[in-house]
Amino acid sequence: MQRSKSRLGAQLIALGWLLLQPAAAYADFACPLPQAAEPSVASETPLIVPPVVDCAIAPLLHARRITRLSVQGVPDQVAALVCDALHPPNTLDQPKANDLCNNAMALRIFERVQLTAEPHGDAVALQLGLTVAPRITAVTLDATSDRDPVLTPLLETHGAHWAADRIESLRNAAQDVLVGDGFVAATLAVTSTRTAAGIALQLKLTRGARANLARIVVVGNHVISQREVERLLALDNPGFNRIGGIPSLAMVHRYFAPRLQRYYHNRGYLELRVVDASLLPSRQGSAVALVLRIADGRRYTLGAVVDESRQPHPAMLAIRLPLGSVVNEAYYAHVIGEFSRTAARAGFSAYVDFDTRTDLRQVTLRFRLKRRVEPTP
Amino acid sequence: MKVVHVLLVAVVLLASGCANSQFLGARVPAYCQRDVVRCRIWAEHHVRYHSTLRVARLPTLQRYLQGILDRLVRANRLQVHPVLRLVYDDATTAHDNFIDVDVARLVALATEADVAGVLAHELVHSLGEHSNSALASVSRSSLASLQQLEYARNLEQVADERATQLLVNAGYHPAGLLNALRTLLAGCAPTWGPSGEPDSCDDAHPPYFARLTSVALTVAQQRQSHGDEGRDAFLAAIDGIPLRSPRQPTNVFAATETHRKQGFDWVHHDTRLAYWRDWAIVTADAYALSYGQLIAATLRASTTSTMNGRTVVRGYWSMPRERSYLNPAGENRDGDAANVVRIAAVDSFAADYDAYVVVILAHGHALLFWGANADANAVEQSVASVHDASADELAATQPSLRIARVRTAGRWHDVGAATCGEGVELEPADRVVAVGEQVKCLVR
Repeated sequence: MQRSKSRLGAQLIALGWLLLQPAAAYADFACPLPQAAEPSVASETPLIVPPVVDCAIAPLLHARRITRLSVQGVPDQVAALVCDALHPPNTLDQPKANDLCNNAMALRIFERVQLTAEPHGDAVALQLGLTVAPRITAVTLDATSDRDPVLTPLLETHGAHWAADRIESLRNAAQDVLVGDGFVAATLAVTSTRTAAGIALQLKLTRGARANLARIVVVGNHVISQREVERLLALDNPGFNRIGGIPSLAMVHRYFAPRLQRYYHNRGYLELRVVDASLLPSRQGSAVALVLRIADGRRYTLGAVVDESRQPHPAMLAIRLPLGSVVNEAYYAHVIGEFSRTAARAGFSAYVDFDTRTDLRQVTLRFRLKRRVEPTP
Repeated sequence: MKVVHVLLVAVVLLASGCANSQFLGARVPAYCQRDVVRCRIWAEHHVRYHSTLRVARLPTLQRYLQGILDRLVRANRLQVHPVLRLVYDDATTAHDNFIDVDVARLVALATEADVAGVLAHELVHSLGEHSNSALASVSRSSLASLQQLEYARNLEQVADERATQLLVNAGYHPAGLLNALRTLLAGCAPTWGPSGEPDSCDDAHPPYFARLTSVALTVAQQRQSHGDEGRDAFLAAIDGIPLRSPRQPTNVFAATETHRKQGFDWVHHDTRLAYWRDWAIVTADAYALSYGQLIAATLRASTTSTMNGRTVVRGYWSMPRERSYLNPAGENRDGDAANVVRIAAVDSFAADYDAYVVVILAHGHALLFWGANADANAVEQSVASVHDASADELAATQPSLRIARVRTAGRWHDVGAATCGEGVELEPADRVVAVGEQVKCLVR
């Protein structure tokens, strides 16, 4: 408790330090504005859109023409790029002000963006104050922390710009990898401390014991048997994802999901989605269940094969597939490959395309042949 | 126990059928000594990655690039020391202890500092073991979620922001990575649509402006504003290298998109900008620092390729940058006064870049450039309209120059000689213009 209080104190001091910082050490940089200005017309019904933080615009400034937009807080060579990225509008309203602020934040190097609007006759002048995020100056591992290779991406962030959500994303990812490898109780804590030089990160990993795979549960599968799913799971990775063995979500993501997708697509189920894969720990935490959620969708057949060639070509050059048959992606790829090679030998370029009619659950295959003309010297 | 693990890994690697030296040269991660599960995952992934790679056998260039990499490693006292490998694959990546550089992307760069910038970016990936992270490949799988993509973008941003510091420590010009990104991401510049959302080339990297801005800020914060650029050394290193694998099929179905657009096979001559091949001058603006430089190189090549008073020119601009350069107002805006060049007429389908045609008048020659992506009809229309304009331009700007006759290998029934203005004749033909055919320009 004492420790968390001191951390809170440090964060408050850091916040105070941040607020006391000068808004910018650089001069204003005027952005070029679009030339085709819209007429300045007072809006009868101002739009009611909540402003993004620090970007609220007074209602009386809505619909006014923007005569100047400047950015403050970055060197000129960077400001020019920021201006390009802002994509400034001609007139001002709250949604456009929000867009300006969001476009600036999307550059991922600012921790604060503040838009100021000043009336300028019947127009308006805007200034965008930018506060560059501090850099990460040190990353250390707590003395009591477990060590693991998943920490390396975080350990190697020094020198990069700090952002709370970015660090949280990297922390989450590292923890997810550990959980996906069977360390279901793993926790990774990252503490950010603001110093005069920048941000110092401290990592602490508690990994815990690894659980074994007790069950494989497939939800939403109506097409293939549980046994077939288990066979597909084990095809590439005989050591993993078997009952009693070690679970690995990484292997599921990398190899099983694409293979399952091919399996379904070759049987006409073009809408298949592997919605989710997760490890569900038992109450004791010593075992996990691999839960796969699948949406297998509807089955598609071949509705038509359409020849859209504008140039005459031999009748033998056509894609021959039985209409009404169940779509089989692998077989179609083979047939189209053969067709393209035959066309090339006959001096034609072949272009093949698919249309999927979800209402009819049919696929239409279209092809076009174009005679190839070799360059003449 | 350690011995058992190492043996197990070796068995997995060998059983996977990958026995080439590139593969066996891989650095086995340290965790293989204590975590057989992750080691197996690494080995599986490693085998798949390396077995699909098309490695380029270019030892001289490889040594040159390895030298740049070594300089970065030594100057920054890094704990990793990857091996550089040239590949014919549409990606530049850091994987295990290899940094794989795509040849086609490499030659698009202009200086050694640019290359060092790209290598420094990949070195940061190598340092952070980003390719070994399970999530890095999940972001490319069917289960990729927004969080996973955000994770990949964060790793890329870390690599971008740290790379410039590595570059500066090694004595290279700090703007190397920035210039490289400008070149390599030229096709990713946002097209502001009705929704106002910027585009980006792929979801696993931050958007275009986010990357450029964060690197530009890092460059601006450096105390050092100068450093080695090494343009001459780089140009010498890439001269004459093949741009595609000799084993790569050449038929239209197998040709890569990049290759088809670039339309040439080898980097050639000191400038890489323009060279004479297959009865035509081939140019590529991706290599040019300025449009003036491109035209100058084209002129140098074209004057040597004039045969019997005829100049046969075929030009390709492989990237959409030409819109900013090819200005109908015509003057060479880069101020390259040594090469008096006048762009007589331009017709570019600016919206989609299906086709473009430029007539350049210089040194007593009219150079007709044209290029297209795919649409033959667009080329035909484009050539037709530019000829109308060029006749007027010719008369107005350079009366001493007289084009006796212009013949195109196309169908001109609806244009006819009468519409072409004084001094220009179009010879009707009964064939449709095809992409890749030459446009012949006869000059007196």
